[in-house]
Amino acid sequence: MKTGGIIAVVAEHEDGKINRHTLEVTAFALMAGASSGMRTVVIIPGNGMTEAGRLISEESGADVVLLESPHLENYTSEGYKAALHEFLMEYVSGIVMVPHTQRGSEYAPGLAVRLGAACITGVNGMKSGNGMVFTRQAFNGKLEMQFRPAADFAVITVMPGAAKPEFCSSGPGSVAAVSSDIELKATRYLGVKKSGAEDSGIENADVIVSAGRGIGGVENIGLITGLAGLFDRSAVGCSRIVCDRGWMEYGRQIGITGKTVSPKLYIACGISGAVQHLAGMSGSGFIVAVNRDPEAPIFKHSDVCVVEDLNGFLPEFIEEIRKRRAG
Amino acid sequence: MDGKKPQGRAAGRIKVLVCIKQVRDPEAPLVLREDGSVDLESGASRFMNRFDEFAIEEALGMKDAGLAECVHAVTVGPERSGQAIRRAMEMGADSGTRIDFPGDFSSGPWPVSGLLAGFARKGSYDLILTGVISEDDMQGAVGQMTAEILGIPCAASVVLAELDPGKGTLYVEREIESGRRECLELALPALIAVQSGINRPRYPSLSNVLRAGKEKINTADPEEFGIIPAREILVGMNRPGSTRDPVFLDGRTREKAARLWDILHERSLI
Ligand SMILES: Cc1cc2nc3c(=O)[nH]c(=O)nc-3n(C[C@H](O)[C@H](O)[C@H](O)COP(=O)(O)OP(=O)(O)OC[C@H]3O[C@@H](n4cnc5c(N)ncnc54)[C@H](O)[C@@H]3O)c2cc1C
Ligand SMILES: Nc1ncnc2c1ncn2[C@@H]1O[C@H](COP(=O)(O)O)[C@@H](O)[C@H]1O
Repeated sequence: MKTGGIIAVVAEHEDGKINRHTLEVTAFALMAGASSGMRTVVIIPGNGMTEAGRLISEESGADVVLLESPHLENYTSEGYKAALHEFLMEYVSGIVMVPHTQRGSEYAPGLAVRLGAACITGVNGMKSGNGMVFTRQAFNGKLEMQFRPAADFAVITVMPGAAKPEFCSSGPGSVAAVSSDIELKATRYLGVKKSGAEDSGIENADVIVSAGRGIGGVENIGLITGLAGLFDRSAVGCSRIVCDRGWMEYGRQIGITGKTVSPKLYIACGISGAVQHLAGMSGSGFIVAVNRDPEAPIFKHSDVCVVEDLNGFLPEFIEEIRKRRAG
Repeated sequence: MDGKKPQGRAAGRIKVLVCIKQVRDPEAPLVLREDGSVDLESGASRFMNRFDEFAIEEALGMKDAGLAECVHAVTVGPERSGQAIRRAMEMGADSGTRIDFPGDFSSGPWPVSGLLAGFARKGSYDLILTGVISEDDMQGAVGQMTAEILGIPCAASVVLAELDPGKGTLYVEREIESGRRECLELALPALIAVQSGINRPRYPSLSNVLRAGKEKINTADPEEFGIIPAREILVGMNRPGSTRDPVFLDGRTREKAARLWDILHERSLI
């Protein structure tokens, strides 16, 4: 028989350790639980996660379910969807919170279909009161939208930083193991390949001058390297599009699928400020953005905003630095 | 659900469907109305979602290599979105269909996924391609949900795809954090949501532009496939807040450059 409602957090882990993003989502879930009276359960798909499960139950106070199967040894979308669906069908309703990572955002929408659930991806906040409302961004971060789930289940993927991983637990939650008898029918897992990107040294730089699509073409990269050259311990970085177009090598890509950097100074040139890029550089000490679109989302995450065309501004700024240093 | 072997494969060639969305230029200004709604129809250029250009290119590459028999393009949207289908045909798609639907923004992923799945089921495609994300809605969900409604396997953020029509499989590499790749093999029929960088999308050739200009874009009635209602209710929209305390420099270009030097110098950053 089905039991009541639940808030389920699906943990993401690597090498036996649960990642920080999962802790954030757990804190987010506990907040939602506190306002709605629902119990939070952290589900850990995989094997050999007993110790990690005990740790998170102690730290957060949430109950933990170890969802085990030989087919969950490695992440596959098919395996996760099948096992989570099987487990969650024990409940009449629920909110399933998945870290918005490359894996989470792959299986969560399919899981929503299996559950007949609302599907809200990239959630960065929540308002509760008259039911739960989740916020997410659209148009590259120019717009924030609020959605309310309208089904018994909701599957949401939660962005990094939606909650601080801080807990006020009144004692450890329970830890239970459940074995799942799923099979993989259409997927064969063949392993993980390391990144082939060469080391560009950007992770250790004090100053990064970074180029986006707004640079216009490979012929203008000289403006970026020229500006970077005027700073000590500096490096050149870029957005994904710049790598896709072959204007710079992959080792310089900053963001969720590239490098994470936190220099003292980050100068973003012609970068719009997509969430996937911000994820790799928002920890920088001081951020300067140059962009001709006054509404560019990067400006919301910068200390100094320069609304200018790069081709006009960068030569002028380079000239200014030379002049001040000379004089 | 749809486990039966499609006919295309008997000949060792497969049928490919590419899902394409028309998006409003994300760089165009957004006008938020008093009532919290947003004016999306006026005053902005529109184009094919840039991630979908990679999807169509990947499909056309398979056709060029003699692995795919045909490439069809489909979109769910109002009349103007036929332009994106036209563009796909100019790039080389054999035919294109627009499923008539008013809301191609903020309607939630269910109705669109349901229509795409319904269309795909009728056409018995062996491989379906989508972009990894749409630039306006940014859900990253429609591909995966379409696959699940069809009951076929899928992979997202795919940066390498190799088809083996004889074996009926697709080898894929999908990107995860820090540029690492997960490698897997999917049994066809399957869906992949492709990530940028998987290829270099072509520009339409003159001959294809001329050909596409003569062909018509099919229009399909959504009722043919049954509409799945949205399970998410949009309750409001607003402009997101700032995470820092941004200072906008003013004056002429020269003055901004001088001011930027001062600010960086005060903070010993230069
Ligand atoms: C799963 C996934 C993972 C991703 N991972 C990453 C990642 O790791 N790193 C990353 O960067 N992206 C990543 N992306 C891509 C990301 O969504 C954006 O597409 C990308 O960051 C945009 O790059 P951009 O800012 O250079 O280009 P755009 O978004 O096209 O922005 C260009 C900007 O330049 C400005 N501009 C244009 N011309 C000029 C000019 N002459 N002068 C001044 N300004 C000008 C425009 O106003 C605009 O704001 C990922 C996407 C997905 C879906
Ligand atoms: N209205 C639509 N018509 C056709 N394809 C779509 C539509 N919406 C989304 N897609 C496809 O699904 C992908 C992901 O979109 P989204 O889930 O909105 O981020 C896009 O790159 C398209 O390939």
